[in-house]
Amino acid sequence: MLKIWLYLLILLPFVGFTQNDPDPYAIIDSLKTRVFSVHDYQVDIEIEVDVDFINMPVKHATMFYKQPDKIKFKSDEFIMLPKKGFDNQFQKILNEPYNAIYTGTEDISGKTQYVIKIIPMGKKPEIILATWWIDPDTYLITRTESNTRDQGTFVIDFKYDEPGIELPTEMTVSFEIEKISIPLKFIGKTAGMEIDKSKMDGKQTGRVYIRFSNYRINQSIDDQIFEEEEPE
Amino acid sequence: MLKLINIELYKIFTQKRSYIGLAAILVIVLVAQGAMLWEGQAMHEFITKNLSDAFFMYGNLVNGYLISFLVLNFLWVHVPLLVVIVTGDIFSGEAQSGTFRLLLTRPVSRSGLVTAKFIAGIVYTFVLMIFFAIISLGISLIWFGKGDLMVIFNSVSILPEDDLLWRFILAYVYGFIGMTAIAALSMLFSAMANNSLGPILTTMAIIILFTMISSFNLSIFAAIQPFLITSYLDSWQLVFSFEVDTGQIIFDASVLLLHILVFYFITLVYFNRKDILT
Repeated sequence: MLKIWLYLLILLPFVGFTQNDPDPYAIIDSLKTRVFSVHDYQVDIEIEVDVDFINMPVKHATMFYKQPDKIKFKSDEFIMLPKKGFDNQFQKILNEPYNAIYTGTEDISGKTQYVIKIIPMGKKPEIILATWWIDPDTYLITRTESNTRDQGTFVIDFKYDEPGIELPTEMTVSFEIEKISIPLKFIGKTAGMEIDKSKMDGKQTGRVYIRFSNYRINQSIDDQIFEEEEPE
Repeated sequence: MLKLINIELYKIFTQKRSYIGLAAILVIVLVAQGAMLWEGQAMHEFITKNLSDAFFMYGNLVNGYLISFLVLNFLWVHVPLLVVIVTGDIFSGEAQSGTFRLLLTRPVSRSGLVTAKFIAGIVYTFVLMIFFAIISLGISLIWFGKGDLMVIFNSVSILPEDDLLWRFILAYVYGFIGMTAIAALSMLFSAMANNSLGPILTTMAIIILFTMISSFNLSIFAAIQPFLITSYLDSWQLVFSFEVDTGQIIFDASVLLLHILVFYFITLVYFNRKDILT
């Protein structure tokens, strides 16, 4: 908590408190109104994992979401999804007390975005500082950067290509993945093969691209769907 | 020739020891499958523990393909020993029991006899591999179902379910070539010996020694590894790489095929010149 206050002290002098600056809480309220208008949805997703030491073809699944925090994936294939980005971070932040600071605007893909720093004030929040880039026309999040307590920083970029739909059509999660120690000798040949240690050890940066299509929004998804087998 | 091969096959399949290999494979595979049925999920969690810190993982990784893949790892360690129990006795068994003298008084050429015995030995190896494939892959798929395969070589590869069957078939074909090379080596020693146990033990000792040398990543062994037959036995695993190195697999298989031919010709020359004294 001390760190957060120190951060605030450092940050505040640079934040212009002029009357022309948009109110960050009002921006977040507009965002909430748009996002929370979606009570539930079902969408087809395509997952592409881009982590140096993981080879995986593009995978397909169906995702189900229902407010406030129910998420379910169904697929005939084995799928891997980054925990960061699919753990209801927005709800977690917005449902707890937080401080929001408007820090100006930045261009993303040639479009000006509001930049808002969010400091969760809840009890031991997992995310200690989040930065949200919000489209001033649509009030939808185009990028988030989250600094977590013990899992590094992750960035999520969102693309919205379906007019009238408040949900992204593409999401790119960039994250740090800690040292991995998979028992190499357990499966597979190692003799005669060069083990690229740099691919297996140390902090790696990974990206997961998720493309969404065929949204079915607010169609009252049955709760039973979420009660089936949980992820490992 | 066909009659000679039939006779040799009859000899092999009427021997009790020919079924030791089949029984051993059945037991090994069933034990492995039973263990996986019991502790497969725990093993999966052990392997993917670090990944699961960063990823949600959905789907069945402990499936028939993973079990078959694990069981296949026994192939290059244990199955050679089961093959040589039969093929290592194919010439020396007759020398020991004195039937060569009787057999070679018949209008049968020595080269024809060697060829027939080699073909019979290869057929036995083929039967063993087919049996191995059926019970390791077939039963595993029935018990554990299908799914994607996670293979860890120098990285983690998730091979999709619909891309696996051909890989397994190719792996078993490669395994068959490898086991045939071992069988050919044991038949060469068998032709040189006059007792049953000698060629079997010699082949086993060579496999164990060569496997040990092939497995150690020590610079002292690096220079000789390419010349050891055992360095090529486990190349079936290359079939399970995310991007299959076809050239390497063909090269390794060619080396094994060359071994088979060399062992066959040495046996042919040796047996044609051999004095049958027992």
